[in-house]
Amino acid sequence: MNPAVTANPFQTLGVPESMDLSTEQVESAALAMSVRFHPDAAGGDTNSEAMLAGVNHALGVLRNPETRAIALLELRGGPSASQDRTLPDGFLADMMEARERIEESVNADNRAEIERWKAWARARRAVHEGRVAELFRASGDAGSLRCIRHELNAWRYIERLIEQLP
Amino acid sequence: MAYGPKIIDHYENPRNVGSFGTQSEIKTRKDVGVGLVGAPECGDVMQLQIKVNDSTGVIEDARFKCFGCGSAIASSSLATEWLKGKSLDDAERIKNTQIVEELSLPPVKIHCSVLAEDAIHAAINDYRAKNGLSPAAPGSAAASIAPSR
Repeated sequence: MNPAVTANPFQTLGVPESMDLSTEQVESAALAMSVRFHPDAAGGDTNSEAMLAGVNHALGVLRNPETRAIALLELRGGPSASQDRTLPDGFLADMMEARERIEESVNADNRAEIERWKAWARARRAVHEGRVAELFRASGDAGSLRCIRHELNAWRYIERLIEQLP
Repeated sequence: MAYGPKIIDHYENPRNVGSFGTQSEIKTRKDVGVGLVGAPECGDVMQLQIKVNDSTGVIEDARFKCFGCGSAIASSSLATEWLKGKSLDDAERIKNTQIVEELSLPPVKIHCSVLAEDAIHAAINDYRAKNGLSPAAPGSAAASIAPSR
């Protein structure tokens, strides 16, 4: 089977199955693949359009670190978001407190304070992203795959918080 | 999205918002059970507190705080109304489908009612754990929910 039509986005772009990919690395791999499958270069290959669609899809998945992590966890056989909704210990209590204080800042229209919360949320996202990358580098046992899912759940939560901040 | 009148009513006039003390107080108060649940895919966080009469086992009062969409707020607001005056065993039998029906929640918002049901069970379990009571008997509603919730 041609690599571009497999369900594995890492194979599709010919990059290592790893969290440790730069945006540039993913984009240049996608560019090389799309040149290869461009209808003008593919010599009338009727599949070239499907190949290109596959490359574009893989690019979308792997360029974003969160969807890259989700794809990698799925490949390693880890739990999906609906299979394991657990959040790391203490996470919800932190979020409840943060949400309360954010609401106070918003009600007081304290822009400086809201900006501080945005910076806080971005730093928090970086923490979860870092933990996910670290866990993928370590052993791939079932326990660590579950931990990755919990960190990903927290990461998703923080992304939603960032979207919702005014 | 078109919200039904009951959701809008609970959203605009949420019942029993608040807390029976600071976070550290409610953690140690033995007459208060606290359930804290969240939904990563929405960014919702919901805290439900029940104040239980320890001689009768009846929920005398309830409070909630919810950061989330209108349906999540309405579901938890309604839950506090329903919890008051119920025994722990009866409270445990509240099903998310009853909340869906009462509020006419649209299908895409059913998970908000599930969150409220999870919060009820978490609050009851917290009260029981604080008071050395055994969790729900096998076959009861709380014993049959998924462990990851």
